[in-house]
Amino acid sequence: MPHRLSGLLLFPLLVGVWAFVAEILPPQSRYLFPAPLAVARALWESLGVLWQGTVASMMILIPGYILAVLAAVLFGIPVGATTWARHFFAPLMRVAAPVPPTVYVPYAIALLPTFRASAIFVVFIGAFWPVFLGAVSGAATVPERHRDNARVLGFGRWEYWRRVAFHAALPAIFNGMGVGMAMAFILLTVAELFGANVGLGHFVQYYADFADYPRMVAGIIYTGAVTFSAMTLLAQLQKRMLFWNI
Amino acid sequence: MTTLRLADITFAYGDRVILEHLSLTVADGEFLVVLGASGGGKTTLLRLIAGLAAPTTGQIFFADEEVRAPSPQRGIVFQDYALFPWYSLRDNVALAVAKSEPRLSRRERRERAAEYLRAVGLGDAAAKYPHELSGGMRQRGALARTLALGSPLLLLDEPFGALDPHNRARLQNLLLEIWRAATPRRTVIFVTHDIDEALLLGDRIIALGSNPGRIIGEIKIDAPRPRSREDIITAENFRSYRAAIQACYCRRDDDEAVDGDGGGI
Repeated sequence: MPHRLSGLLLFPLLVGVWAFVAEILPPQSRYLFPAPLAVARALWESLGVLWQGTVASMMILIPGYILAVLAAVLFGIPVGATTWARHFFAPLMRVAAPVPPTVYVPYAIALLPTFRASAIFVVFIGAFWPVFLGAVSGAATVPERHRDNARVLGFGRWEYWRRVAFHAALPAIFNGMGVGMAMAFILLTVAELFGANVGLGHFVQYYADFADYPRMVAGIIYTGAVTFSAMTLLAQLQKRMLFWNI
Repeated sequence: MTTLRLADITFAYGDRVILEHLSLTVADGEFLVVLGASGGGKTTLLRLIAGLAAPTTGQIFFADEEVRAPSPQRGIVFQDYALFPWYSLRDNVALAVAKSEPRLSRRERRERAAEYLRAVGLGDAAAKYPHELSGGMRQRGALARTLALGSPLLLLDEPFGALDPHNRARLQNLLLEIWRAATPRRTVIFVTHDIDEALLLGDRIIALGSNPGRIIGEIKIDAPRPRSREDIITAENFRSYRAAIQACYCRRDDDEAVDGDGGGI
């Protein structure tokens, strides 16, 4: 616990360094590198807009992410637990999974009728692969004693997937969900930089266009806080669901 | 008839022959102990009977049918605590109840599961998860789940091997109580490397030699039950049983040392 608390001291330290650097810069550079106080003021003034942006962003992120996790788990557990399916999909996984999903953004925006639909789609793609790979590898490496038990208990395929493979894969699924969440945020903001008129990514892009750097930096910090909250929430969920895994 | 019959079983893993030309018949309600050194193919033998692995040559029959796959008819308790860690004890046992009594409602299943847990002295721990339990409690839970399967044949793979002596003695007593109380009695095949445990539990002891595993001796234990732990060490009849078992191993080459006092091989 003391270590965790001492880590928090890093934040005032960083802000101090920031303030110091902003102070010693020549005046003409200051507008590019706003001081903490200016950013704080901008943040305070923008909170309303940022909150609206958060709501708009979450309307994209949450459906995209949840759909991705559901699809990845529903599809990944059977694939991972079935030898032939694992081999059948292995080439696709090796080719498609490492493609940086940001490359889909322009095409998705062109292809799908609304910005929201295309943004949800790219968030889905970005979050799907890490969770899918986690579910597949988790379901493929169920410890032998659990598989033996399932066989002795006479589990059918569906019962095995649901009662054994899913639970055994859950730690790997959560690892994938962490990576998937980070991907989802990246894709969300990239998509918003491209084509949104609201949202967190749009906020940053908008004020960068106007060279209003205090607001832009405020937007970055605010986005960081939202990302951090989402990751913390996920970690809490993981802790609750994996209580047995200690 | 639920007699178990192994007809000239050989099991090889690659080039390595684990079990060789092994034939064995186990009668209904018999408590058979398979005694042998670690790594001597005892676990393999149980896995074959359970149907978790198939013999390379030879056949296994249970209740006049050839064993080809696992079945709740042949319940197995593994050496390591093999409850599902993500389910509570009650849910673990209820999964087995769902197989043996599929008509029960969800609630009735949970009630039946609680009864099985009470029978092994875990009535108060039904809501607990495996990681919250001691090794002995988990092994009781595994036993309760296998009992709940309603298997006429119980396969026990060194089930008490990892327990301290006190817990081991308690669970040995519990197993004997459960086995003797049931009518008709279940057939039990109990694997161990501990001579004392074999003498305490078995109607018959099969001595398994290793490299490759085969039957090197067979001793029928005609001692009344319940047997006292003291008699097993001191009584004349048990001393001659013990000598007979040790003789089986001594007749073989010297690569298998036999420990006469501590009860290990």
